[in-house]
Amino acid sequence: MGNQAEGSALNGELDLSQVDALVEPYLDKQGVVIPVLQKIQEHYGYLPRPALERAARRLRIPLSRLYGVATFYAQFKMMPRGRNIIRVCKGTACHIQGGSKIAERIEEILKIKVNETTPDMKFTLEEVACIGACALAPVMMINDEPHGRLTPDKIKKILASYE
Amino acid sequence: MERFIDPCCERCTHTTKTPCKDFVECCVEGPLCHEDEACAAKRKALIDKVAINNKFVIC
Amino acid sequence: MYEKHLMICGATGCLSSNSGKVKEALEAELARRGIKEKYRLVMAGCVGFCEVGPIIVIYPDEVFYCRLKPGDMAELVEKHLIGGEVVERLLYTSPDVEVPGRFYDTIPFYRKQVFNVLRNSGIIDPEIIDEYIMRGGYRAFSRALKMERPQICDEVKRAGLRGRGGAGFPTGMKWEFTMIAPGEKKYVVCNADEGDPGAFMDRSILEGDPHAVIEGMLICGRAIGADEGYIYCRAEYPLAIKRLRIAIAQAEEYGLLGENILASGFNFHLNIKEGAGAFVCGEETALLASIEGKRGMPRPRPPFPAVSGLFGKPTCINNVETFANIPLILREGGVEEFASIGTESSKGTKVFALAGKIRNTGLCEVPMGITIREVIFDVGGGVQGDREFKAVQAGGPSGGCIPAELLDLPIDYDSLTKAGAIMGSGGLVVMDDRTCMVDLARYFLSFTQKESCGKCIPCREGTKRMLEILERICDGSGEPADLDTLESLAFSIKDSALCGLGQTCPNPILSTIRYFRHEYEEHINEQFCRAGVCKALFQYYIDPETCIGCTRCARVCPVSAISGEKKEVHAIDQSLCTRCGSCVEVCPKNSIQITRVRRKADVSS
Repeated sequence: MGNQAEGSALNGELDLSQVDALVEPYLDKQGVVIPVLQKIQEHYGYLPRPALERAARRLRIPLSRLYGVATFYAQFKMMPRGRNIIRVCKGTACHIQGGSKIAERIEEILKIKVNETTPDMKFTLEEVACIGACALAPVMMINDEPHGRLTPDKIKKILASYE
Repeated sequence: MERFIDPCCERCTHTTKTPCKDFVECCVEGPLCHEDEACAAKRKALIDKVAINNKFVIC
Repeated sequence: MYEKHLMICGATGCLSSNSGKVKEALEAELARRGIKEKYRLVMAGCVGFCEVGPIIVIYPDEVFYCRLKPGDMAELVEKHLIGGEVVERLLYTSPDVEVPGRFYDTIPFYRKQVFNVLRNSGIIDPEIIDEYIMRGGYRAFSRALKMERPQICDEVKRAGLRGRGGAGFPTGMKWEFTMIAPGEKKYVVCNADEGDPGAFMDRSILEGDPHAVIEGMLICGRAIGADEGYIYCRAEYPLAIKRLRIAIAQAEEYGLLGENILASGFNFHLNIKEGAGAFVCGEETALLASIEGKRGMPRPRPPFPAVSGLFGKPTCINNVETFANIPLILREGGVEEFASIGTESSKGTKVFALAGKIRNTGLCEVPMGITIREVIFDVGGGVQGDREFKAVQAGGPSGGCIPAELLDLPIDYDSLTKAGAIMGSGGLVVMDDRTCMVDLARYFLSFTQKESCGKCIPCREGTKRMLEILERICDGSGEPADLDTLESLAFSIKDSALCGLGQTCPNPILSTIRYFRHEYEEHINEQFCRAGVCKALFQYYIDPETCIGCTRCARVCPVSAISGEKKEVHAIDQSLCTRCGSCVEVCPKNSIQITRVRRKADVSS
């Protein structure tokens, strides 16, 4: 997920030629919608509508079905996301260990709400049901890196270490 | 013999194309289809490399 | 030959506490001394004790080092590896042991545990199939290939294995139903969509011993006559997916997956499907819809998946831990050994994830029938900071709370159900006096409400209404009639929702009302949250008797609501305080206390 911001719709240009190659291995197979969406999102960082339209035509699957699946699952994003994805765990263990205070502090520092992106595209703040690192609650992941045993005071320093 | 899938000698014929029914048991206790101390030693060497204690191997 | 084996815990828990850096430091130190070849370093599976991670266990010496830092590695190499002397300072120490615990047998956390499912985790390299085979791996499958199909189902039935995903349906019966269902094409599906917040057993099994799950699926495929399987795993578990991919590739290379496996004529192919983040997909019919590439919506049963499942074909769905138990049962003499552990109705062991306000957080495997008290106090070491135990939540959003008076309840499927909780997948979240039970019910409901797929009205609308009521209670606008409304809604949803998610989502509410009704009543009638969680229902004050004027609270307060001179008693300005609780965390004397909010009427007069 490293190059997700590249090629995003920031400047209004989107290279759609990649869609065909991404879809190619899934032609004429069953149960492909989720993996196809995962591939497109892996490439663009989110699901741009023009890319979905192109994929729908290639796969001969109605766009409405792709859209229906995309909006059902938490993993799929319809908007461009920041360079760094912060995922604050909302699991039970994190909840009772004060996880909501972590999210609140991040919101204060970055001045964005959950599911929003900072204007400079540096951070996107999201919530995740549970990342299964309950022993270290409260926990957040930034990109693929877990940060455990958090307190609100530690947040600023951690965020500062990301570009 | 670096791994169990490597044949101990040309008498071992187990591959995905020509499977041997005793392959799993043969890995640790083998060779089962022929007798050869050298072949057995190869298996033991593989095990000795990673067995952390004498309870490690389970037959 | 290696002189020593250093098993570094490489599971998500220890990785979060920096075991990766510890390994790098260790490697660098060994390289610096030019003795790298003498030692085998393995990023191994979870050994359970996440609380004290990162962990390294050294064999054959049997020494357990914990709470390691990269800076400790030079000493560990110098003293232990070269000098042959145990580094006392890095052993397990805690108030519950007199002398530092050197190995599993002297660490209380491990004393009551039985390693069956976790038999290989932490002692093999999960990315090398040969090590799994040395541990007796794939022998049960090899044996099953020589058995008749009904005979395999019969052994699973006789062992008494019940589904480890939560509901506890007898596994052997499920297999038999799928075996006798008519149809040429059948499927085996492994449910690794561990969605319960607070549970991470399946993740640890997949990360630590992926071949055990694959072998279990192979045996199932052989028993029911399936030639294809799917593992549906959460995308949030990247390491588990990576290890599974490696394991599948190796099993294929070794001829243990594919065509004509071990010359038996049995074919089996395995696919991984990454879940896309929807809790409802843990429900079996929703999971199947998701594999088929649709929205993960459940459908009414019957027909059960055993008759019409994936792509309309007979399908056997089991959970990760269930499959990991199978190789133990199918090996020679395995049935008797498996059934010798546990109670009359619940056999074998169960893996639990201990989290929340418990001292020893982590993963443990205990025999069925052990009491909750033993798990929480003997294995788990009791409540953090010796605070008062209030309840333990079992089974996540579908489960319930077990209060202190039921601590001696034995852990088995039936006792837990009777107490209003469920075995669930095995998450145990401990709560102390600072956890508000109303807020907890609200938390679970906000989760299920968000995750409700919206197909059936009881769940879609009912969870929304119940959540509104709970939010109102937590905000201080609860009404006395709310409790009755909540209960009647809860019972109607239980009776009428379409799938397991809907039918069980009222459990957290019902069980908290059952055991903690007084807390609800206090919220509603007295506008007071004694746990200090619901922000509108309490105030902080600084106890003048104990405050030493250290100024820490004033410095940490984000809204500058605390004032006071150094070495003098501090005070909180209630009009500024946001009740964030930062001051409570830093106060060395526990001086920041909770009190009732003074009513508006009192303030204005």
